[in-house]
Amino acid sequence: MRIGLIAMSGVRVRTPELAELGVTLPQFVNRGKVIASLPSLGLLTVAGLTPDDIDVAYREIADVDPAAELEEFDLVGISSYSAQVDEAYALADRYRAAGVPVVLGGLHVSLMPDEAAAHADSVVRNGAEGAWPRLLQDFRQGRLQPRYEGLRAGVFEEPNYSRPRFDLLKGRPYNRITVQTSRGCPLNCEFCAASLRITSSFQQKSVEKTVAEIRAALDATEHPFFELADDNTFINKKWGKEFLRAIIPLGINWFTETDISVAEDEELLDLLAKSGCRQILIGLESPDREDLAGVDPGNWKRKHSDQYLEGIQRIQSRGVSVNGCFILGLDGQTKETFPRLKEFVDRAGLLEVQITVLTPFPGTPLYERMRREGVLLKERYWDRCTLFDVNYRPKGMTVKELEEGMRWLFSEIYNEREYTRRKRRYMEIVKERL
Amino acid sequence: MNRRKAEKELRALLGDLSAKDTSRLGLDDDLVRELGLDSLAGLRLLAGVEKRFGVCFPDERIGEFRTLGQLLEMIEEPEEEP
Repeated sequence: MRIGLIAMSGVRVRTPELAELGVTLPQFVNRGKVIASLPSLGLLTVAGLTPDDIDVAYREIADVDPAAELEEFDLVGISSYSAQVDEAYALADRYRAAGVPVVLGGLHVSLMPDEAAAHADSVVRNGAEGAWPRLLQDFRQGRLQPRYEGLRAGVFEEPNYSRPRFDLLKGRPYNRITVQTSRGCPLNCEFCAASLRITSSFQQKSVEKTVAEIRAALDATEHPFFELADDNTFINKKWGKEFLRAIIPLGINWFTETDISVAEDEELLDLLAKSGCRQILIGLESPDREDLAGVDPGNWKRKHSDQYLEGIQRIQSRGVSVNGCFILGLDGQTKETFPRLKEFVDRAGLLEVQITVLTPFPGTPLYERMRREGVLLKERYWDRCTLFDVNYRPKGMTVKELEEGMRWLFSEIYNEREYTRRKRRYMEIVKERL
Repeated sequence: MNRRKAEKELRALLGDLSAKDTSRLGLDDDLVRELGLDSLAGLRLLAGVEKRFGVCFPDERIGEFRTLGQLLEMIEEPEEEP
């Protein structure tokens, strides 16, 4: 039996003026491009959960020419982001029309299973752990079910856990490889459309399993830069330190996402630098404390926002750059937010900045609230879930003001002069530490 | 510093940064491709070269230094400050 696992993970900005900006200020979509070019860890995990007697082919959207003949498989599994899901559905429809059964999974499908079911023989919700092995067993016996519920807890425990098949990446030109150390995040931000939506609580992988995965990825790819595919890696600082000590001997360089609390722990910061951490992305969300009210149910970010400036300085002084992530269009924000954000970025000395627009991804609490409030611009806008296209009427400004303010900020922050300034700032920090 | 000594020190610096063997690296080899340096590693390398050799890469040309040969030229002939 031969199974095709196909990742549909490209993202294209839809608003023409923004797409145009992307050409002239390419740095503003850098992070999006990086994300889109990462291998699908979800599908590599699915491959890992597949018995050895089944032949697995891993494919990505770039491998699938819509005009070409379909590659032959006995069963096809497709995973996609919201922005690309209609193309995933179209591909699924083609395979089904050709008589090949299709399974759809991933975050979007987990949150919108009824929609996905119209394009699939079977839909897998949540993680593949606990679902994929049963699905394959049923498929072999000719009784594939329309819906499988994956586990929401215990995903990294035996016998549910399986190491992702990094070997499937051999010969492909990846310079970044993802490894996951955890799923979920207790902050539970209203807008978050990451793995916390498919877990019942924070799930932590053991240090031993994580290190084994990194070693497997090192065997499969040349000089990879590692990206931890976590919502928030250092929730558990004790685990974090154990993990960092364990990867120091591997000599890798890596990136992850976490929160500002890492700056409170000097030992952790030293270990981050020693272990090859090159950048951490922190969701700062807004320069103004009041805008952060309600972003997460416990107002954790609001309570910690007064630590932003000092925290960034402390982290970057270790030679670990901070990618400060901001969201435009939060309820408390107005037109005045844009210049204040620019001023904050300058004052903080951030070495990298990621600015996106508030995006109500389907199935998130934010989406449900906006739907109740009647502020969504369209009923269905998945192809515009790019993090740059505006899909709702913001509270403190008009859609046009938000779009124009965002474009102004992009041109102020992502131009060559500012980029050069940030690079020089980083070099000076590094020189101080040498 | 003579070129041979500078090259030796540069290779050692690159080796420390990349944890790779740099002894066979050609003068025209692309450092990013051959050593798997990411953009931040590239900046750290330039910072290390500036500190070690007392030179200053012009900010607007930071992205242009991609080979051992280019770095050596920079070390040998630092641009005059305006």
